[in-house]
Amino acid sequence: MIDFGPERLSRDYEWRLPLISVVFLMLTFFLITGTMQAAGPVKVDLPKGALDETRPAEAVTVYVGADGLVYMLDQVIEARFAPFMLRSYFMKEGHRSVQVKADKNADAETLIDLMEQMREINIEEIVILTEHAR
Amino acid sequence: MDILDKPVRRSRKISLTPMIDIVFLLLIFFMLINTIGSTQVLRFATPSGERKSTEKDFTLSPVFIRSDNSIQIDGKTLPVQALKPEMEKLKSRATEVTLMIVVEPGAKNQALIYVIEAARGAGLKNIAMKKLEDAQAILPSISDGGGQ
Repeated sequence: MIDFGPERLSRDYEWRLPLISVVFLMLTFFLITGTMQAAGPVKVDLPKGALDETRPAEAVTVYVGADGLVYMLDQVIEARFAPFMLRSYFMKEGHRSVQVKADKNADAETLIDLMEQMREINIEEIVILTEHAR
Repeated sequence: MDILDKPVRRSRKISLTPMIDIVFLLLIFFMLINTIGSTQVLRFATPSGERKSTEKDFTLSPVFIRSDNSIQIDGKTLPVQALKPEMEKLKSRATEVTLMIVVEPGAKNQALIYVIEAARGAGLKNIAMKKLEDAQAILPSISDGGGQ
Protein backbone atom coordinates (compact mmCIF):
# COMPACT_ATOMS: atom_id res chain seq x y z
CA MET A 1 0.00 0.00 0.00
CA ILE A 2 1.46 3.34 -1.02
CA ASP A 3 0.99 6.16 1.40
CA PHE A 4 0.30 9.44 -0.42
CA GLY A 5 0.25 11.45 2.77
CA PRO A 6 -2.53 13.76 3.91
CA GLU A 7 -4.99 14.95 1.32
CA ARG A 8 -4.19 18.48 0.07
CA LEU A 9 -6.75 21.15 0.65
CA SER A 10 -8.59 22.32 -2.41
CA ARG A 11 -7.37 25.80 -3.40
CA ASP A 12 -9.15 26.23 -6.67
CA TYR A 13 -10.27 29.75 -5.68
CA GLU A 14 -6.72 31.05 -5.50
CA TRP A 15 -6.27 31.68 -9.20
CA ARG A 16 -9.25 34.04 -9.14
CA LEU A 17 -7.85 36.41 -6.55
CA PRO A 18 -5.43 38.31 -8.87
CA LEU A 19 -8.24 38.57 -11.43
CA ILE A 20 -10.58 40.09 -8.88
CA SER A 21 -7.87 42.50 -7.77
CA VAL A 22 -7.24 43.66 -11.32
CA VAL A 23 -10.95 44.05 -12.06
CA PHE A 24 -11.43 46.08 -8.87
CA LEU A 25 -8.49 48.29 -9.80
CA MET A 26 -9.95 48.89 -13.26
CA LEU A 27 -13.34 49.63 -11.76
CA THR A 28 -11.80 52.15 -9.36
CA PHE A 29 -9.86 53.74 -12.24
CA PHE A 30 -12.98 54.24 -14.36
CA LEU A 31 -14.97 55.49 -11.39
CA ILE A 32 -12.36 58.14 -10.58
CA THR A 33 -11.28 59.28 -14.04
CA GLY A 34 -14.60 59.16 -15.80
CA THR A 35 -17.13 61.90 -16.08
CA MET A 36 -20.68 60.83 -16.49
CA GLN A 37 -22.64 62.66 -19.09
CA ALA A 38 -26.25 62.47 -19.97
CA ALA A 39 -26.81 61.27 -23.48
CA GLY A 40 -27.60 64.18 -25.74
CA PRO A 41 -30.59 64.39 -28.05
CA VAL A 42 -28.34 64.01 -31.09
CA LYS A 43 -24.99 62.43 -31.73
CA VAL A 44 -22.46 65.22 -32.00
CA ASP A 45 -18.95 64.67 -33.28
CA LEU A 46 -17.10 67.50 -31.54
CA PRO A 47 -14.39 69.45 -33.36
CA LYS A 48 -10.81 68.77 -32.34
CA GLY A 49 -9.15 71.39 -30.22
CA ALA A 50 -6.09 72.08 -28.13
CA LEU A 51 -7.13 74.80 -25.69
CA ASP A 52 -9.04 74.11 -22.53
CA GLU A 53 -10.41 76.90 -20.39
CA THR A 54 -12.28 76.81 -17.11
CA ARG A 55 -15.79 75.47 -17.30
CA PRO A 56 -18.74 77.60 -16.28
CA ALA A 57 -20.58 76.48 -13.19
CA GLU A 58 -23.94 76.39 -14.87
CA ALA A 59 -24.87 76.57 -18.48
CA VAL A 60 -27.72 75.51 -20.68
CA THR A 61 -26.51 73.09 -23.34
CA VAL A 62 -27.46 73.68 -26.94
CA TYR A 63 -26.62 71.03 -29.54
CA VAL A 64 -25.95 71.78 -33.19
CA GLY A 65 -26.12 68.66 -35.31
CA ALA A 66 -24.22 68.02 -38.51
CA ASP A 67 -27.48 68.76 -40.35
CA GLY A 68 -27.50 72.31 -38.93
CA LEU A 69 -30.53 71.79 -36.71
CA VAL A 70 -30.43 73.06 -33.15
CA TYR A 71 -31.46 70.76 -30.33
CA MET A 72 -32.35 72.51 -27.14
CA LEU A 73 -34.57 71.86 -24.14
CA ASP A 74 -36.03 68.70 -25.71
CA GLN A 75 -36.93 70.50 -28.90
CA VAL A 76 -35.52 70.53 -32.40
CA ILE A 77 -35.51 73.89 -34.11
CA GLU A 78 -33.81 75.83 -36.84
CA ALA A 79 -30.91 78.01 -35.72
CA ARG A 80 -32.79 81.24 -36.40
CA PHE A 81 -35.51 80.29 -33.90
CA ALA A 82 -33.17 79.20 -31.11
CA PRO A 83 -32.79 82.64 -29.50
CA PHE A 84 -36.55 82.95 -28.98
CA MET A 85 -36.51 79.68 -27.07
CA LEU A 86 -33.47 80.80 -25.10
CA ARG A 87 -35.00 84.15 -24.30
CA SER A 88 -38.10 82.60 -22.78
CA TYR A 89 -35.98 80.08 -20.90
CA PHE A 90 -33.60 82.66 -19.49
CA MET A 91 -36.42 84.91 -18.38
CA LYS A 92 -37.63 82.05 -16.19
CA GLU A 93 -34.36 80.52 -15.01
CA GLY A 94 -32.00 83.47 -14.88
CA HIS A 95 -28.89 81.76 -16.28
CA ARG A 96 -26.60 83.77 -18.49
CA SER A 97 -24.33 81.07 -19.92
CA VAL A 98 -24.89 78.82 -22.88
CA GLN A 99 -22.79 75.81 -23.72
CA VAL A 100 -22.76 74.91 -27.40
CA LYS A 101 -22.01 71.39 -28.53
CA ALA A 102 -21.68 71.83 -32.26
CA ASP A 103 -20.76 69.06 -34.66
CA LYS A 104 -17.48 69.56 -36.47
CA ASN A 105 -19.26 69.09 -39.79
CA ALA A 106 -22.00 71.60 -39.03
CA ASP A 107 -21.87 74.79 -41.07
CA ALA A 108 -19.80 77.45 -39.36
CA GLU A 109 -22.40 79.97 -40.53
CA THR A 110 -25.02 78.27 -38.35
CA LEU A 111 -22.80 78.58 -35.31
CA ILE A 112 -22.04 82.23 -36.06
CA ASP A 113 -25.74 82.99 -36.51
CA LEU A 114 -26.52 81.30 -33.24
CA MET A 115 -23.79 83.17 -31.35
CA GLU A 116 -24.77 86.48 -32.87
CA GLN A 117 -28.38 86.02 -31.88
CA MET A 118 -27.43 84.91 -28.39
CA ARG A 119 -25.45 88.09 -28.00
CA GLU A 120 -28.51 90.07 -29.02
CA ILE A 121 -30.58 88.54 -26.23
CA ASN A 122 -27.89 89.50 -23.71
CA ILE A 123 -26.37 86.14 -23.02
CA GLU A 124 -23.13 87.03 -21.30
CA GLU A 125 -21.08 83.98 -21.99
CA ILE A 126 -20.98 81.38 -24.72
CA VAL A 127 -18.94 78.24 -24.28
CA ILE A 128 -18.02 76.06 -27.24
CA LEU A 129 -17.12 72.47 -26.53
CA THR A 130 -14.28 70.78 -28.34
CA GLU A 131 -12.62 67.41 -28.09
CA HIS A 132 -9.02 66.95 -27.09
CA ALA A 133 -6.92 66.40 -30.21
CA ARG A 134 -4.85 63.26 -29.73
CA MET B 1 -23.99 15.31 26.49
CA ASP B 2 -23.31 19.03 26.34
CA ILE B 3 -21.37 18.52 23.19
CA LEU B 4 -24.37 16.98 21.49
CA ASP B 5 -26.63 19.90 22.49
CA LYS B 6 -24.44 22.56 20.93
CA PRO B 7 -25.25 23.30 17.31
CA VAL B 8 -22.57 22.19 14.95
CA ARG B 9 -21.02 25.14 13.12
CA ARG B 10 -20.03 24.29 9.66
CA SER B 11 -17.54 26.45 7.90
CA ARG B 12 -19.25 27.85 4.83
CA LYS B 13 -17.27 29.05 1.85
CA ILE B 14 -18.89 32.03 0.23
CA SER B 15 -18.90 31.69 -3.49
CA LEU B 16 -17.06 34.54 -5.19
CA THR B 17 -18.60 33.97 -8.57
CA PRO B 18 -21.68 36.25 -8.22
CA MET B 19 -19.49 39.04 -6.86
CA ILE B 20 -17.13 38.73 -9.82
CA ASP B 21 -20.09 38.81 -12.16
CA ILE B 22 -21.39 42.00 -10.60
CA VAL B 23 -17.98 43.66 -10.59
CA PHE B 24 -17.51 42.80 -14.25
CA LEU B 25 -20.92 44.23 -15.05
CA LEU B 26 -20.10 47.43 -13.18
CA LEU B 27 -16.76 47.65 -14.96
CA ILE B 28 -18.34 47.26 -18.38
CA PHE B 29 -21.03 49.81 -17.45
CA PHE B 30 -18.52 52.46 -16.41
CA MET B 31 -16.25 51.76 -19.37
CA LEU B 32 -19.11 52.28 -21.79
CA ILE B 33 -20.73 55.36 -20.32
CA ASN B 34 -17.64 57.29 -19.32
CA THR B 35 -15.87 59.85 -21.40
CA ILE B 36 -12.44 60.14 -19.91
CA GLY B 37 -12.09 63.91 -19.65
CA SER B 38 -11.89 64.34 -23.40
CA THR B 39 -14.07 67.43 -23.80
CA GLN B 40 -12.62 70.90 -23.56
CA VAL B 41 -14.16 74.34 -23.54
CA LEU B 42 -13.59 77.62 -25.33
CA ARG B 43 -15.21 80.53 -23.53
CA PHE B 44 -16.47 83.68 -25.16
CA ALA B 45 -17.59 86.74 -23.30
CA THR B 46 -20.10 88.48 -25.52
CA PRO B 47 -19.71 92.24 -25.92
CA SER B 48 -22.54 94.24 -24.43
CA GLY B 49 -23.02 96.64 -27.31
CA GLU B 50 -22.21 97.18 -30.94
CA ARG B 51 -18.94 98.93 -31.58
CA LYS B 52 -19.41 102.24 -33.32
CA SER B 53 -16.04 102.83 -34.94
CA THR B 54 -14.37 100.36 -37.22
CA GLU B 55 -11.16 101.86 -38.47
CA LYS B 56 -9.89 104.70 -36.31
CA ASP B 57 -8.89 103.20 -33.02
CA PHE B 58 -8.07 99.67 -33.96
CA THR B 59 -6.98 97.52 -36.86
CA LEU B 60 -9.33 94.98 -38.29
CA SER B 61 -7.57 91.96 -39.74
CA PRO B 62 -9.72 89.59 -41.75
CA VAL B 63 -9.12 85.85 -41.85
CA PHE B 64 -11.12 83.94 -44.42
CA ILE B 65 -12.48 80.44 -44.08
CA ARG B 66 -13.35 79.32 -47.57
CA SER B 67 -16.09 76.95 -48.65
CA ASP B 68 -13.51 74.18 -49.02
CA ASN B 69 -12.38 74.88 -45.40
CA SER B 70 -9.07 76.37 -46.49
CA ILE B 71 -7.93 79.28 -44.33
CA GLN B 72 -6.58 82.46 -45.86
CA ILE B 73 -4.79 85.42 -44.35
CA ASP B 74 -3.67 88.27 -46.61
CA GLY B 75 -4.57 86.20 -49.65
CA LYS B 76 -2.30 83.31 -48.64
CA THR B 77 -3.75 79.88 -47.95
CA LEU B 78 -2.21 78.57 -44.76
CA PRO B 79 -2.06 75.17 -43.12
CA VAL B 80 -3.41 74.93 -39.57
CA GLN B 81 0.10 74.79 -38.07
CA ALA B 82 1.07 78.09 -39.69
CA LEU B 83 -1.93 80.01 -38.38
CA LYS B 84 -0.54 80.93 -34.98
CA PRO B 85 2.74 82.48 -36.23
CA GLU B 86 0.81 84.36 -38.90
CA MET B 87 -1.59 85.73 -36.32
CA GLU B 88 1.30 86.79 -34.12
CA LYS B 89 2.47 88.86 -37.09
CA LEU B 90 -1.02 90.36 -37.38
CA LYS B 91 -0.96 91.21 -33.71
CA SER B 92 2.34 93.04 -34.01
CA ARG B 93 0.94 95.37 -36.71
CA ALA B 94 -0.96 97.61 -34.29
CA THR B 95 -1.50 98.17 -30.60
CA GLU B 96 -5.04 96.89 -30.81
CA VAL B 97 -5.94 94.33 -33.40
CA THR B 98 -9.35 92.81 -33.86
CA LEU B 99 -9.42 89.62 -35.81
CA MET B 100 -12.40 89.31 -38.08
CA ILE B 101 -13.08 85.73 -39.03
CA VAL B 102 -15.01 85.75 -42.28
CA VAL B 103 -16.81 82.53 -43.06
CA GLU B 104 -17.95 81.57 -46.52
CA PRO B 105 -21.08 79.47 -47.03
CA GLY B 106 -20.24 75.78 -46.71
CA ALA B 107 -17.27 76.25 -44.37
CA LYS B 108 -17.35 73.82 -41.48
CA ASN B 109 -17.19 74.28 -37.76
CA GLN B 110 -13.83 72.49 -37.39
CA ALA B 111 -12.03 75.11 -39.50
CA LEU B 112 -13.61 77.87 -37.40
CA ILE B 113 -12.33 76.25 -34.19
CA TYR B 114 -8.81 75.99 -35.66
CA VAL B 115 -8.82 79.72 -36.39
CA ILE B 116 -10.24 80.69 -33.00
CA GLU B 117 -7.70 78.56 -31.15
CA ALA B 118 -4.81 79.96 -33.20
CA ALA B 119 -5.99 83.48 -32.42
CA ARG B 120 -6.23 82.72 -28.72
CA GLY B 121 -2.79 81.11 -28.85
CA ALA B 122 -1.34 84.20 -30.50
CA GLY B 123 -2.79 86.39 -27.77
CA LEU B 124 -5.46 88.10 -29.85
CA LYS B 125 -8.18 89.11 -27.44
CA ASN B 126 -10.74 90.63 -29.76
CA ILE B 127 -12.30 88.24 -32.20
CA ALA B 128 -15.29 88.97 -34.42
CA MET B 129 -16.95 86.27 -36.47
CA LYS B 130 -18.98 87.19 -39.49
CA LYS B 131 -20.59 85.57 -42.46
CA LEU B 132 -19.15 86.76 -45.76
CA GLU B 133 -22.23 88.80 -46.67
CA ASP B 134 -22.25 90.56 -43.27
CA ALA B 135 -18.52 91.21 -43.43
CA GLN B 136 -18.90 92.80 -46.85
CA ALA B 137 -21.54 95.11 -45.43
CA ILE B 138 -19.14 96.27 -42.71
CA LEU B 139 -16.01 96.48 -44.79
CA PRO B 140 -16.66 96.77 -48.54
CA SER B 141 -12.91 96.49 -49.13
CA ILE B 142 -13.00 92.79 -48.45
CA SER B 143 -15.54 92.13 -51.16
CA ASP B 144 -12.75 90.88 -53.38
CA GLY B 145 -12.14 88.02 -50.97
CA GLY B 146 -9.15 89.41 -49.16
CA GLY B 147 -6.72 89.43 -52.00
CA GLN B 148 -7.57 86.09 -53.47
